[in-house]
Amino acid sequence: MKYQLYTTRSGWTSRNDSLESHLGIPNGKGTLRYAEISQVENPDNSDFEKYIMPVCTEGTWKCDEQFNPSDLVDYDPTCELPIPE
Amino acid sequence: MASTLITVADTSARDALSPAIGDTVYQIDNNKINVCSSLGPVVWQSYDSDGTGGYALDGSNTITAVPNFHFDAAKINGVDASGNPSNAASLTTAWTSKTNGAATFAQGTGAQQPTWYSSGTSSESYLSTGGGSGGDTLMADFRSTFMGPISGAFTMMGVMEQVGTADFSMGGGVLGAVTSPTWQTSPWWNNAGTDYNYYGQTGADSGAKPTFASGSGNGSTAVASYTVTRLFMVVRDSSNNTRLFVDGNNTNTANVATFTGDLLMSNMWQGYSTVYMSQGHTYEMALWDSDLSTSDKNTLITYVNSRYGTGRNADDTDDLARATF
Repeated sequence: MKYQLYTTRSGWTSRNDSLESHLGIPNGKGTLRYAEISQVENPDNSDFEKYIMPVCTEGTWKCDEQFNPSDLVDYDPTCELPIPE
Repeated sequence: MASTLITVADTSARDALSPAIGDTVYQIDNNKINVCSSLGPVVWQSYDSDGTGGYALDGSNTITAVPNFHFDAAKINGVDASGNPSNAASLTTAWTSKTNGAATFAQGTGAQQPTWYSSGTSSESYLSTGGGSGGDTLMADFRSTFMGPISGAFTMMGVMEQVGTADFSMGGGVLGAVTSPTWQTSPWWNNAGTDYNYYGQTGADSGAKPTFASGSGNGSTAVASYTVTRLFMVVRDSSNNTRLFVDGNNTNTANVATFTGDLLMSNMWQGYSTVYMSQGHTYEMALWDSDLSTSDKNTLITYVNSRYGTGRNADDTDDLARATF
């Protein structure tokens, strides 16, 4: 799995819509959507509040070829709030 | 009254029969009773054992305790290979346990569907999960599918392989309201692939990980290798002491968690909340609402070694050795 970050919700939604169109989702066999929207939650992260698009690199919904490789990033655990002690 | 129940070794042998409606056969590999309910095509209704006689993991290794669930990637429908996806395809159906009829929900979000591969360690099938935020997960209605809540002793088992350096876990915890103290994280997971860590209810790393350099049975050249297929067991005993065991009886006895709340398994591969999902390969996963006996634990090790041994931690010396209990 790779990720691309979007500054606006509308940007994320537009990209999700285009991916669903490309992948044929919903597919009538139970796959209803491509991704669920989420944001970078950690205010100490430089990408705070950006919208996270998971990008499948394997499986039926592989779509990393639809992205510019230089825009894709690996998962960064510092995106999330620190685990409470 | 004399009676004879036809026995078959496995599902393939059962399906080779030409039954009449009502014919009943006992299947040795999973201890199930199969009753033919209709013809053209033949439909078998399968019924679980009542636990008497134990649970046959593979037809030759039988343990006393029947698991609440036992998910096997080689049998996505819980019975045979007929429900498996195509190689490298996403899992769009439910994953059904080999016991109790427990099943996950089908995952409707494509990017969160695990990918099924027909051949990995020892040519066995596995599910590959993408980790991190929005990573792959399967959910279940734990209140009706034997996935909890468990308030006392339990044993979680997974045959899994960490991949890369993202989070890695079996899963656990629950989304939504709970009525009693509940594990909000997977009882075991690692954060950012740094180690095989144990995390308590508070999320703090209790460090109850095996010590590669001094684990029981290790060779003098022990090294910490994480990205290999291993047998993981998380055990909470009757005194509510929870430990992580890797490849058998390798643990860190100095660090034991004492959380007494419920265990739920509503979110498979969820380490902590929905953003710390597991990246790796899962071959099997099982849960018992008891601390397995020493005999059962060792039988489980024997079973895993016989099925996966040739392909995992092959030399069994320079890493965590497969120590018995």
